Amino acid sequence: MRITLKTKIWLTVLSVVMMFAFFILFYFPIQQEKYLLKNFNKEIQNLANTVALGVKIAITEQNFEGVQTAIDFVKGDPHLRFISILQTDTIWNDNHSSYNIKRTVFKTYPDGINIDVNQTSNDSIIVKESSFNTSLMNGSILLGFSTNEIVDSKKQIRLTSLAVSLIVFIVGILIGFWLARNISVPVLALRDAANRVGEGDLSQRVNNYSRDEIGELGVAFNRMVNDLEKAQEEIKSSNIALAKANDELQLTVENLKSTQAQLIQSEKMASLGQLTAGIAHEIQNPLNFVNNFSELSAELIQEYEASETTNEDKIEIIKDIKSNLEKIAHHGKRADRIVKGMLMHSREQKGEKIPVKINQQLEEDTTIAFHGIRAKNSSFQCEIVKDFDDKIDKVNIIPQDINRVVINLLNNAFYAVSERANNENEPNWKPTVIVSTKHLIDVISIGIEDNGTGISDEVKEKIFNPFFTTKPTGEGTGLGLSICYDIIKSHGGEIKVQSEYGKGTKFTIDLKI
Amino acid sequence: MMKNTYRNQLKNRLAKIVFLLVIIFLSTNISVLAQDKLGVIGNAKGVPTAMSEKELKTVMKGEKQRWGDGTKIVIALMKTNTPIGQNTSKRIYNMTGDELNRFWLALVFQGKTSAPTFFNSMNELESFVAQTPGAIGIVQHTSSNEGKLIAVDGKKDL
Amino acid sequence: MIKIMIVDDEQDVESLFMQRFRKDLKSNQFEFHFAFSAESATQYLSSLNPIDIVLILSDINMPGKSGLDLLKEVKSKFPQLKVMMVTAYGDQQNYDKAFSLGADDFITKPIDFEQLREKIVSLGGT
Repeated sequence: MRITLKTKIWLTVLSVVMMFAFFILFYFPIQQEKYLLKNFNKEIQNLANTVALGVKIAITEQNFEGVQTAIDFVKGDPHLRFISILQTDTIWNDNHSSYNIKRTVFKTYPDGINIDVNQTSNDSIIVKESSFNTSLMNGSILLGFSTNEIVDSKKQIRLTSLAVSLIVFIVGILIGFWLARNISVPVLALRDAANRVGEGDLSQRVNNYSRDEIGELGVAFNRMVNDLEKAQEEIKSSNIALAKANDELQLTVENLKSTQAQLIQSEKMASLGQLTAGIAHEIQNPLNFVNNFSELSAELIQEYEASETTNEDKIEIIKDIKSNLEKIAHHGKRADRIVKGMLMHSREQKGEKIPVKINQQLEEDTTIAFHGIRAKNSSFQCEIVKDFDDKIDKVNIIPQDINRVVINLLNNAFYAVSERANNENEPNWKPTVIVSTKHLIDVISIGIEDNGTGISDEVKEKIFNPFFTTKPTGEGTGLGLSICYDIIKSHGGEIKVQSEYGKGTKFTIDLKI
Repeated sequence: MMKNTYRNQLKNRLAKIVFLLVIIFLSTNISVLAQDKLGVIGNAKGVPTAMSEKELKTVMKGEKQRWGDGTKIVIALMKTNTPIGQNTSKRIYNMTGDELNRFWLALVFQGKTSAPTFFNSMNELESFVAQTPGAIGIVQHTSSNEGKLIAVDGKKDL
Repeated sequence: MIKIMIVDDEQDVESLFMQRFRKDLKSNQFEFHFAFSAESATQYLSSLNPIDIVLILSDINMPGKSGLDLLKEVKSKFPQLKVMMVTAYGDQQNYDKAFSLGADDFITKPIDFEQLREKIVSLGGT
């Protein structure tokens, strides 16, 4: 069961008030009456004693002042029922062997009332006796007082108690009300304010000006909410700042993206420009030759047709023309090859990916490449090591693309070893090309390694750039590795090069399965 | 018990002897004083210079509260253990000393009148009466105070 | 007779020049020496004593040492030698570089042989 603070305060105050009111209403009057009765008894006894003393003095000293004063005083009390002087006589029997105590009434005031000498107190009367002994007479004062005064006092006390308990009750209720107002109300206000603050309304404050703990609590609460509000505002403003910064960042990212796109575009353009320049340069030379040799051939033919030309000269001319035609054909093919290579480099169409047995494919490519180089240079010698991973079966690739890359890399490898063979005189060195495959977790790795001339670091940086070549003019277009790079990228793979100048080079193609 | 009884007997015997001695002493005194005469003195205010014996007795017994002019009657007596006091009880009240005391106790107790003022010496009594308005006192009749005494039934000595 | 060294990695240049200037060669007006790399050109120059050639005609883009490297070397070693640069790249960068290195002339491919002959003759005459 939930008892609110207000209820608790009310219950506490009410129980205290009730207890106090009951005390005043019941216990207090009883005690008061007892006390009153006791005092009354004592007072009457004292009066009896005073009178008795007065009588004694009057008899022994013949001074009646005391008794007169006492009697006057007693008579003045409206509650007096009677006051008597009892005479106590010792009556001896005839032979003086035993005696009786005889109490007789000497005098009674008011006159004419019959008094029982052995009368005692009851509810309506209080009777007190005080004895005196003189030579003249032995006796006692018997004083009877009405209890009316007590009854009246009792009534008065009960009425007073009732009034006081009523006042106590009312005051208690008022105190309870005040307490509730001063404790419960501000606490409830605090609770409500705290609830609303909890719901996010930070404009809540409590108005509590009392200088007690609740007031301090209110002040602390207000301070806390102030701090919260300030903190929230700070958070808000920093959020706004963050959002702004975020927006700016977003904008920057978008700018960067568009810049990147522009860069890519301009790089494309630059590469196109480079391509164009490359085309110009690469095609210019063969075209120059074609043009020049054809012009020269035409001149030679004119010379041949000239009448003064001797037969011997004619034979020479024919020889030259033939040589020129061969050169024209050679340079024409050279230009053709360049154009084809470039077309391949810039082509957009895509072949289909099909499952291919990579190891078998590599075997064939190696043979083709080797025969290709042997056709050019019949004296070419090279040891070919094949290190294929048997775990590899079919892999989804565009076979013509991968073939092109592999053959290109093999050509490079053969070229590198033949260069080293030509340039160096190393008796213990044997030209070697290693073709390998490796099944890694989610990657097929193809390695083409040679122990040829190797590549210097600066060359390595540019090796995949279009038109970069180390071969003498005419032997390479400078497009091979750049095309290889594009092809492998479009396969979602990676091509990497490791090389040490003078020791050899290894190209690695990682194809994702 | 035995001892106590013996002691009581001894006490009683002693008490009897003392009682007898007192009686003898008192009776010799009375016999001496009986010959003395009494006189009445009064304050100048309220107290008449002459009254009847009956009137005197009425005043003395407290049956009359005030003098003719309204002054409160104040009675002055010699204590009953003095010879004059004894004489006064006998002659004026016709009572023993104890009887006089009981008489006045009863009156005072019932609030019927004020008790007389008792004195040990004549001088005190006389000066009291002289100073207290309405006061009347009983003194010994001597030749020296004859002039101040109130005549009762024409006589200054009682 | 004007002796000229032609430096180009394209070996067919020899045949081309021999045919283009065959009349001049027949009349012993010109004499050509062909070098197919910058390296062999400097080698040849150092083997000459005294240096009888008056003009070097050099390509810029060659494997190994470039024509500009050769120009720099020649101009420092043999300042009296005339050097004429030939290139397919008529770009400003190469042009400026060539002249800053002391090139005497700069011609672009395709070569206008008539113009070239006049330039050679005028150079040889001075």
